[in-house]
Amino acid sequence: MTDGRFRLPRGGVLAAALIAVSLVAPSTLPTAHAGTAKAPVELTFWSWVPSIQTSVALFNKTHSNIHVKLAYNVGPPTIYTKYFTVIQAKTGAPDVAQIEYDWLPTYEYLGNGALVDMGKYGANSLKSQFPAGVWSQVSVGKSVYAIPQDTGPMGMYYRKDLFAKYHIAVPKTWDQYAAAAVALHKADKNLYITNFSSAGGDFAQWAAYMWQADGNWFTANSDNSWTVSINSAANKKVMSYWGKLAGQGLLNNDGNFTQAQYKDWAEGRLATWLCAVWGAQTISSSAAATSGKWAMAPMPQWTAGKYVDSAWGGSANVVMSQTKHPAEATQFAMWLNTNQANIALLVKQGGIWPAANAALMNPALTAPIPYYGGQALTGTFTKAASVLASGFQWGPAIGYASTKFDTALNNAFTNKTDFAAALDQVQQGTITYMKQQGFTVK
Amino acid sequence: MSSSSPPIARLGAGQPAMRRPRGLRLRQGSTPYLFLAPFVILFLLFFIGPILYAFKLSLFTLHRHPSLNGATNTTTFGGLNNYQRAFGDADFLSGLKNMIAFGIVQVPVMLFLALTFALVLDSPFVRLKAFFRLSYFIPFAIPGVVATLLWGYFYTPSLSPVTGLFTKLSFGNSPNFFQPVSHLLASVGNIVTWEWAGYNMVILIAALQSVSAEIYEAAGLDGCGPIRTALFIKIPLLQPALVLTAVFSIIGTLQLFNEFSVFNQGGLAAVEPSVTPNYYAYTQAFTYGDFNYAATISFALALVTFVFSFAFLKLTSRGGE
Repeated sequence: MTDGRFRLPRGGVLAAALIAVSLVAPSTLPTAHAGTAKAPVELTFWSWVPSIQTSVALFNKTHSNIHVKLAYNVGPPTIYTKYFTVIQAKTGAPDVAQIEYDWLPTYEYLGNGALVDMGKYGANSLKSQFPAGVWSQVSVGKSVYAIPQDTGPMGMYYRKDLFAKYHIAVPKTWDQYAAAAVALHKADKNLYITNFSSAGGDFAQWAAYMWQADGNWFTANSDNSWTVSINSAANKKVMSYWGKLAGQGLLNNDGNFTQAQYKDWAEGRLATWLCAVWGAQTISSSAAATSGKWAMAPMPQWTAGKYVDSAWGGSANVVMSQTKHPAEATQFAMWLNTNQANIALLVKQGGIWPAANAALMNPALTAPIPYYGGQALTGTFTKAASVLASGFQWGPAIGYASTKFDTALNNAFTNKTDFAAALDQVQQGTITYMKQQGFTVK
Repeated sequence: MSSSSPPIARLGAGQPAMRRPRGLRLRQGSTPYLFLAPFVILFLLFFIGPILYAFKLSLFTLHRHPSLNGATNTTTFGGLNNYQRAFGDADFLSGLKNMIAFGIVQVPVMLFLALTFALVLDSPFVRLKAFFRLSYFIPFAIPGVVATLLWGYFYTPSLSPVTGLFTKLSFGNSPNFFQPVSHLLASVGNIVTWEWAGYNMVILIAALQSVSAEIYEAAGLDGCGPIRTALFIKIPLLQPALVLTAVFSIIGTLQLFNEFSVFNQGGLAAVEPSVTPNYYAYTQAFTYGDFNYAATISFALALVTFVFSFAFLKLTSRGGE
């Protein structure tokens, strides 16, 4: 009777169906609870700060009504790609996210306000806890679009042993810096004072130089129009300075955060790095061999005796408008950046320089660092943060402007043409692009 | 394939064919479609679907409304406006120009190499054929990102063992492999050739296997030595396979992306987004946030690719007859 084909016995089908249903059913039955405890509000959080999982765990432990899940832990530019994608798809965005200051206007002006105005949920109460220059980057009037987490006051990291070896004074002004560049390269033709980088994303370092010289790229006017000033006199002054150094062959071409740069640090072919406070960890973790040979100093100045500083990087936490729980999300973002215990965690494990005023007393910042010969971060960077030049604004088309800037600068470096003229190209291109996209540009 | 006998005839010997039940016949007719269904469903969902969605995106133009407080970016139906903008866009056109210049040099060089390897490995004189076949094919097996990083480090003066040789041998400074754009294209051309020559070689070797031995015998009787056999017999017989690999290479060249993206994001070189149209589309979407225009660029590129491949096939089929 067998025909070689497998036949499920009739009873077997019924049994299989019953088993399947019984496996599925319990989850669809309402759970019977004696009490009326509300389920905690679930929030998703995207960030790139190393070890921010411990902050999330601390929050969950101390807040029974909110449960935060760190769903994504990758840095820029990948995370920005994901933000654009979920905003375009209108689904999948996290409740709380991390965005750098230079990208904030892009998101503030992006479709239906991709960011929630946290001022509506009490964020304005934090205004006095942050420096004015930082608060102005996250707020517009009474609207608060982000809670500042960290800032990046600039400083100069230098190889004190190389300066001592060639009897060159540590530069305090840009003129002295240029002279030191010539002297260092003459003493050792494999040694450069610093690297020139125009690879994707390093425009913020150049912007910091222009920021320090009172240059500005964008201004938001009160009538919703924008003024683009990329090729202003102040910006051109800065870029001409660097163009001269590059033209004389005093800068090497390593990109920032590349293996080539780390190797040059380790083997003594780069004498300084102009970077923000978070750069301290970059150098110490990538060039361990030169421990004890580096030191930190203020950034060179345009006017001797007048100390002005700027910032590179730093980020803030935002609440994205796809959230279903804006109040709780705001609560988490505010806690993340003002709770003293958490800030201590962020400083210690994430290596950030906190934006909150009160956090600057944190012992983790005042601890001497052996890598820098016992110097503490606060020695250089507290003063730097306090003299942050005000008035620098990022615009809504920073993606385009920065890409154009990187390209123009790179061409100028390769062809040894005028850096200042490159700014003209960026200015023209940015204005054309912004107009084409629907912005009013004055 | 021989026609399959209906299953019922095998079930019980001696049963007349007339007693074949209806249900069985239907099952037999629909079985091939059932086997195809998983592929077709996934193909429609993840290949055709996104293409249709992207085409819809490309017909709309993005308008930003530059104010805070509930401002909404809108997209209006622009018809073919975006395409007009794309074909007049200097960045897109320069990317196309770069890729055409790249293809004119790199594709013939790579196919020449692949052909040489294939012919040599098909000749009776070479020992260890399997070993050489494998070693020429291995670069293809290395993931593109890894290969690009590898070569990128070779090209970076302070990291590379090779560039140090230039100064040691007193050739002066090692050339800049990343700047200007012509050098960058040559460097990427090197990587692409290294990766894909083996792949194309394998296709050509497979085509050579299908040549019947009688032809070689006849050629031998006519007095053809191995080199003349290769030049005048094998190469003409390989023409279909060569056309195939050439079309693949043309399509691949116009879509170049990996190498430039890894160079830029890996900090190895500053690469402007307009260097290839594909990278330009990516930048439009993920750095500028303009998905509509990015979709337009992608379709415009696809159109150009189609035109080139079609023209090439037409050219070669007319010549070949």
